[in-house]
Amino acid sequence: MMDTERASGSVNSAEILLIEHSGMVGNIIVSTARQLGLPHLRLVNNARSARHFLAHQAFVGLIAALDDEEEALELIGNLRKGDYKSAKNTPVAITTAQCSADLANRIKVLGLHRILIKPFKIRDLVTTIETLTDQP
Amino acid sequence: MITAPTPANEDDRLSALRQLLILDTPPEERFDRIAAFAADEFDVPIAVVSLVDSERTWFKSHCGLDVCEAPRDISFCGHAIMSDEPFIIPDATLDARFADNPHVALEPHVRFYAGACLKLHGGQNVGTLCLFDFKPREMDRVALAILGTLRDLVVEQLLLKTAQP
Repeated sequence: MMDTERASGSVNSAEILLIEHSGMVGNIIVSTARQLGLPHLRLVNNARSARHFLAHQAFVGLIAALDDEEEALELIGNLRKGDYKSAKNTPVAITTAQCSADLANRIKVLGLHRILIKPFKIRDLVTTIETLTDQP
Repeated sequence: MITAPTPANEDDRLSALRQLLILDTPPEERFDRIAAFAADEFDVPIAVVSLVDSERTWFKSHCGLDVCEAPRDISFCGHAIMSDEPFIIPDATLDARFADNPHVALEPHVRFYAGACLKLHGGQNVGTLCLFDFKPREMDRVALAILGTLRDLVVEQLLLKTAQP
């Protein structure tokens, strides 16, 4: 409850934070989401930039590319610990080139809502955005 | 078959197209990347960046297609540039405009076409980003939004004077 209150107190509009390393793919996702009237996406290309935004703004969802796996997993872990302005239970999806058994074990505890294996379809990412924002 | 009509602003349209200085230029990765992305995203065998010249449609990028131009009068893109809206032919064999079109009735037996207009700031539709398939298909709102986004990227590239490093 406290997490929800804290998040809602600092959300100006329903924004989802998107970490995508490919500028072209990121821009396609953002533009398509805009055309479909989905929640606004804040696009960053690495976990470090994402950390900066998470420190200053609450988001209703996070979609994180695991290209820099350690940093991205640490960021999601910090989110779950309540280190940022977003709620601890903020819905999170990840995109990754592969999901090894080791990675599967590591992300199990992070309460992810969806895993997309690259190369994914933009359509699947759109569905993921809709899923994240449909969370109760 | 109904041949591709001529837009009312044809002279202005051709002038704008030629000012882009892109006709008959070599393939470029910046366009090929978008066409390949479209083919992958939509799982279609052919995705093309097509520019409608006076007598031909010339392909700046032609993923999955060997030829780099085709006669305008029998082209799908010649029809597509008549409207700003996406031009979708779910099954060409069932469409009076295309059922006996050589691309449909003969090899490669095109069945599906989806084209999004490349509209310049002056309002001229100079070509399309288009998809072809050999089986009937539909385009829902998500597909149309993605095609529109990819089309916008092509227009952005057309308006750049030179390729970015």
